[in-house]
Amino acid sequence: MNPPSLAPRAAPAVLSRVLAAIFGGYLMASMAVVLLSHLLPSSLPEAVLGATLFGFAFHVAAVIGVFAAASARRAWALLLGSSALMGALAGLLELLGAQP
Amino acid sequence: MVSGVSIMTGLLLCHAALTGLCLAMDRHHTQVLGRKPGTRLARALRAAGWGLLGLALWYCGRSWGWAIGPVAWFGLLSAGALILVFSLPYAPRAQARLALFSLTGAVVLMLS
Amino acid sequence: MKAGFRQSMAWLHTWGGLWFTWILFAIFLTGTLGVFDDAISHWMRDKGRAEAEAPLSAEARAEAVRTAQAFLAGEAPRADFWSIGLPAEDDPALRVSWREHDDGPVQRRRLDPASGEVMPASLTRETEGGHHFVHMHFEFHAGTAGIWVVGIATLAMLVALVSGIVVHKKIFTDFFTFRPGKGQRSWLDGHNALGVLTLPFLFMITYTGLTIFWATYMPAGIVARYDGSREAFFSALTEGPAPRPEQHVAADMVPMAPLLAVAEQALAREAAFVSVSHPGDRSAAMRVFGRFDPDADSDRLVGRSSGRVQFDAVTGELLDVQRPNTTRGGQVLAVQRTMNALHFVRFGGEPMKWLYFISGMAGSAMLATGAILFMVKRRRRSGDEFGSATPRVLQIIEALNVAGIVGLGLSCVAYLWINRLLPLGIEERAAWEIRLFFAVWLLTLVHASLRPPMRAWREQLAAAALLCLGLPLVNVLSTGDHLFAALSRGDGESAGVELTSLAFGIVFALAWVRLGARLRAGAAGRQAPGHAVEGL
Repeated sequence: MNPPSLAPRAAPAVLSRVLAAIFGGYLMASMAVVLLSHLLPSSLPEAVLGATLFGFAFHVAAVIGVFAAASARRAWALLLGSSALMGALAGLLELLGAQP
Repeated sequence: MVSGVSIMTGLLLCHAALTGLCLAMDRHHTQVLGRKPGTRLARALRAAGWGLLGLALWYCGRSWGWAIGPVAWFGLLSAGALILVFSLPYAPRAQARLALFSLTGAVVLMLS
Repeated sequence: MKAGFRQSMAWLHTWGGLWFTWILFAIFLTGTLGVFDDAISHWMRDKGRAEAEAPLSAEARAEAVRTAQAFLAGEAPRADFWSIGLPAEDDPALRVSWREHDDGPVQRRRLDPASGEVMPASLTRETEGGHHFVHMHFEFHAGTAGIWVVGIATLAMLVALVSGIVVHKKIFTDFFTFRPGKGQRSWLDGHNALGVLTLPFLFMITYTGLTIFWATYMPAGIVARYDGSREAFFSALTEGPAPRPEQHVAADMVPMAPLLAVAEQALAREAAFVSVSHPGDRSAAMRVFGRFDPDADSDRLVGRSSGRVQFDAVTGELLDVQRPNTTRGGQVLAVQRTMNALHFVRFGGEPMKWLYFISGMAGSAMLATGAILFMVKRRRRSGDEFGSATPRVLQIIEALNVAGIVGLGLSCVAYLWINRLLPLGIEERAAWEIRLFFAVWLLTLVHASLRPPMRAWREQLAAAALLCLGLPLVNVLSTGDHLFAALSRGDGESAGVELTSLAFGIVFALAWVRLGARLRAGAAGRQAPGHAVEGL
C-alpha cells in the first residue's frame, strides 16, 4: 500500500480499510476464537477462555494485515474468506461433537 | 514485603549493567571517553553488562520470589535505562562514574 | 515488498497513532495516577489526621448488617442487587447501595451504623477520591460505552506498538541514543527511547488491559459454546456454585445477621462486605466477602483472595465456601488471573507500585512526544495531507495536543484543588468534583483553540506548574494540614501526594522556562517561528 494522503480523494479507500480493520478484523478474530475453543486441549470453559485470550492478538494481526494488504478489496476478501473458512470448520467440529 | 534497600540494590545493578552494555558500543564509548573501544574492551564490557543483568535477575528473584522477581527486574531495567539514556547526553562522563558508583553500591548493599 | 510493508506500517503508525493519541494519553496518565488511588483518596478525604476508628466487634458487625437489611428492605424490597460495605478503619459509615433493575442506576447511601439514619453530607468530605482516576482510566465515567471506547483505543495501542517496532529500523543500534537540542531529531529520539526502554511494560499493560474485559469485548466463544449464557459459563469456569437465575417469584428473606457469624467462622476472617443478588426473589443469594489482608502472601502474584461464602438468602442454607488465599479453576484461569494481577499491581507492595508509576509515566511521555513530534514535523513543512483544509486541521490537532497533554495534567491537579475548595455541605459533592474536573478540562480545550499555539502551551504549562506547586499551600489553608505535619506523623500517603505534586510542578515549570527560552531565541534570530518551536 502506498501511503495515501488523507485528502478527500483518497477517503473511500482509507475508510474501507478502517472498516475492514475494525469490523472485518473483529469478525475474523471471533471466528478464530470459536475454532480455537474446539482445538485447545483443555476442558470446555478453559478452552473458551484460553481461545479468547489469544483472540485479541488475532485482531491486532488482522489490523496490521489490512493496512499491509495491496488493496482494500484484497483485505476484505482475505478477512471474510478466512472468517468463513474458520466458521465452517468450527461448525463441522460442533456437528461431529468433537470434544475440545 | 520488599525493603527499600533491595529495590535500590536492584536498580543500581541494572544501571551498572546497562551502562556496561552502552559503553560497549562505539558511538557511546566515543561520547563518554572520546575514542572507540578496542575489540577486547568492548567484548569485556558487553560480557560484564550481560553478567550484571543476569545477577540483577537472580537478585530480584531472590528478593521478591520467582513469581514477582522477573516483573520487578523488567521494571528496574526500564527505570535504570531511563536514567541512563536521558542523562547521558547532558553529562556523559558523570554517567560513567555514576555506573562505577552503582556497581560499588550494589556490591556493598548485597554484602551487608 | 519489505520496504512497502515498512512504508504502510509508517502510515499506519502515524495516522492510527495520531487519532488515538489523546485518548490513549488520557488512559495512560489516569491509569498511572490510579496506581496510587488509595493514597490519593487518603489525601482527599483528609484522613491523615483522622483518629483511626476502633475495629468493630463481631456484635457490632452483625448489628450493622441488621441495620442495612432493614434499610434496604424498606427502600427496595425487590431489586437486582444490594450491597453492604461494613464500617472499616478508614470509613466509619455503613455504605449501602442497590439497583432496582439490571439497567437502572445504582443508588448509594451512607448510613450511621448505630441509628440506621442516612448521614448528612456535611460531616464528611464526600469524594470519589483517587477512584475518579481509575474510572477515567477504564471507562471515562461513561459506563459500557466508555469501556468500549477504551477497548478500541487499547487495540489501537497494540497496533501502534507493533507498527512502531516495524518502523523503528535501528532498535538495538539506537537503544541508548538520545540527542537533545536537535529539534525534530530529539523528539523522535525521545519518543523511540521512551517506547523501547519500557516496551515489555507497555505490551504487558496494554494486553492485560484488554483481557480484563475479555468476556465483554470478545464474547464469541461464550456465545457459540454456551449459547451466550454467561452465568453457566462462569460457574463452570470458576468451579463455583451453580448460577441462580432470577425466578420472578416473591419470597421472604431470612435475617442476614446470624449468617454473617457463620460466614466469618467458615472464613476464619472478619467480613468486610456483603452482597445479595435478586433480593426478595426466590433465587436470592447472599455473599459474604472477607476483609482484605495486605500482608498475607505478598510474595505471590495471584491467589490473594479474601475468601467468600455464599448462602441461599431465602432458606439460609450454606451453599459454598471459598477460603481466603485459595484459587479454583484450571490453569488457563490461573493465567488469566495472573494477567489481571499484573495489570492491577496487586503484588509487591509500594516499591512495585512506584515501578509501575515510573513506567506508566514513561508510557504517557512516549504518547505525548509522539503527538508533539507529529506537529513539529508539520510546523516546519506542512504538506497538503488534508487538501485545502490542511491548515485548519493542523490547528485543531495542535489545540488537541495542548488540551490533551498539559490540559489533562492541569485538570488532574485541579481536581485535587476542587476537592479542597468545594464547600462540604453541598448536594452530590462527589459528583460535582468530577463535573468540575471535566469543566476545567473543557476550558483548557477552549483556551488552546483560542490562543496562538505556543502561547497556549506556555500558559497552560505555567498554570499546571502553579497548581502543582501550590497544592501543599491550598491544603494548609483549607484543612490546616501540611507536608511537614504529615511527614512527622509518618503519614507517607499524604506526604507522597504532595511531594509528587511538587515534583510535577517542577517538571511543568522547567518545560515552561525552556519553551520560553526557545521562543525568545527564535524571535531574536528572526527565524521562521517553526524553528523555535521545535525545541518545545
